[in-house]
Amino acid sequence: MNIALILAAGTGSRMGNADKPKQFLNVYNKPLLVHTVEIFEVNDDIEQIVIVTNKEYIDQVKVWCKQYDLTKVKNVVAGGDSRQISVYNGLKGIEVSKVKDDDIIVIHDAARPLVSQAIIKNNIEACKLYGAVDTVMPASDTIIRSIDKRVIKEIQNRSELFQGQTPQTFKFGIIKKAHEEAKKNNDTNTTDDCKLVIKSGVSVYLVQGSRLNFKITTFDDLMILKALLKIGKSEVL
Amino acid sequence: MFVVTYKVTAPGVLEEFVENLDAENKVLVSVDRMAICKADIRYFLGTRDKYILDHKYPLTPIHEAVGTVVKDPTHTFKVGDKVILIPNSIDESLCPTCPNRRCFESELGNNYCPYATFRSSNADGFLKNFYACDPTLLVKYDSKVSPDIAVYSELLSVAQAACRRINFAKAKNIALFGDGIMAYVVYLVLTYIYHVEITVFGISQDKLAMFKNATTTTYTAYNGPLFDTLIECVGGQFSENAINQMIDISQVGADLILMGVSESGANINTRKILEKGLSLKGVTRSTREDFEKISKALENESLQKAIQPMVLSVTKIKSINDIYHCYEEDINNKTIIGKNIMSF
Repeated sequence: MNIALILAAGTGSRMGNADKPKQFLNVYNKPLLVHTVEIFEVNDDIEQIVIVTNKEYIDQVKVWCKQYDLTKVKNVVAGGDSRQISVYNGLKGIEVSKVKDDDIIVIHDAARPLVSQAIIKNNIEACKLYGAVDTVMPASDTIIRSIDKRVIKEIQNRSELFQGQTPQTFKFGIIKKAHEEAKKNNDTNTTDDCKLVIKSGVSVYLVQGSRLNFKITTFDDLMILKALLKIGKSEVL
Repeated sequence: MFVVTYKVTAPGVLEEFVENLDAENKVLVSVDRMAICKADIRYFLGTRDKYILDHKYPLTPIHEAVGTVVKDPTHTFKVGDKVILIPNSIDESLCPTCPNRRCFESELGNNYCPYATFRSSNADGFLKNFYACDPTLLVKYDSKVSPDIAVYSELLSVAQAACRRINFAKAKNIALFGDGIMAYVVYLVLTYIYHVEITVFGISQDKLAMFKNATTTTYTAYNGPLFDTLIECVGGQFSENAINQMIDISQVGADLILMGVSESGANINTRKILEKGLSLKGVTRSTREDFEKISKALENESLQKAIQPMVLSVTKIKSINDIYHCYEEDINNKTIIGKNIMSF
């Protein structure tokens, strides 16, 4: 079984003065979260969806699932104070579906509404082979490392650098073990699941992402998304 | 839901776009297979009048496609149903006040409606991974039929529309002019649906060899009887020559059915048309009924086998380069009857 775990528990603190977290902002009269979930809803390979969201939005998300006929959504669970806790809660939410260790969990940010069907498919296929995969893009800009934010400490070889996206996809047994070990070690604020999985001794393989699969983090990102959609709408006269 | 679509923005230029797919109260279909038509190639190469092109671009191409139903709030289809996408839509609310009354005649059909929209011509086409439409713009086909075969439905439906113009009670001697893909699908419809014998006039012996159940010949070699029904599938710069040859070997009162598209006018022998009392009928596009007839006919395994050689390749679209590749292959293919099919 392939299950999508959609993370929609962010606070949107980098969205300026928006009155709600970015994943709930409307684009074409529909919350961004719904646009993202719809992509997984229509994916043949995905059998179930679990949404992790802010506690106060759980009822609202359930209403949207009904309103937009998101029939694959089987559970909506509350997130935590960090991404890591939110994913852990999501995994607990998946467990009620009698999930097996070999089942595949596709973890995706609700704020990446332009993830393609091909990326999801490639994640699942690679995960079947390797057990743990991350969606990445080769770094196109030079990455500068600075400790004091004033002086360059280091410039690494760009050909070895990649920018992480989502989905991050794991066999359930692997991701669950990684989270439980982290919890046992009081490690509760790791921002990336791959980091936890690597710490647990499992290699994480790379899957090619897409420039379009960008995360709506700031107001500028939202503007770029809307601009892309506006250009796409241009039809014949 | 946001979907990726591709548009021709200028001659020879395809670009990737993102659009919001409005699927509310519509059937949502994942597009399985697409085929490039000659009209798509003309828009892609920009071989139409500049004024027309300026009004068309940017345009999502492709009007030959099949898909799978993903959601249907109208409850017309089941999830997983295989469907043919109909590219032409008619606004029937305009019919009561429209002066074109002959659309209601079944022989002609409403595919000639001047207010119709046609995908990849005056409306965006099917080159996108998901498509949403009214259920009347979809026709279910047997899931046992390969989508590589079913994607030829639109082309076959146009051939079927041409056959609607034939008076089979009177047609005893049918000639088909052309050895390209349109001629081949007309041959398929006449042979496997109407079960009539035809004579095919072409130039390329290799291509004519594909018309296995027909008599094939070249115009210069032919010295048989005259024909009462002649179908032109040549188009382009050679259509003028073909139409004049058809006029020459027509019986008195024969029907000439024209299907080939020519951007420049054809200088044809009107004296002989008058002398013989010939009727010229133009055929383009098809109606929903034509699609339904083709969908049923596709269940015939012999027809499926006869379509199979036209599937030259199936390319999975991973990037825009794959679409360019398919266009180039189809543009450069002058020798083999068939298309390079695209899939998502």
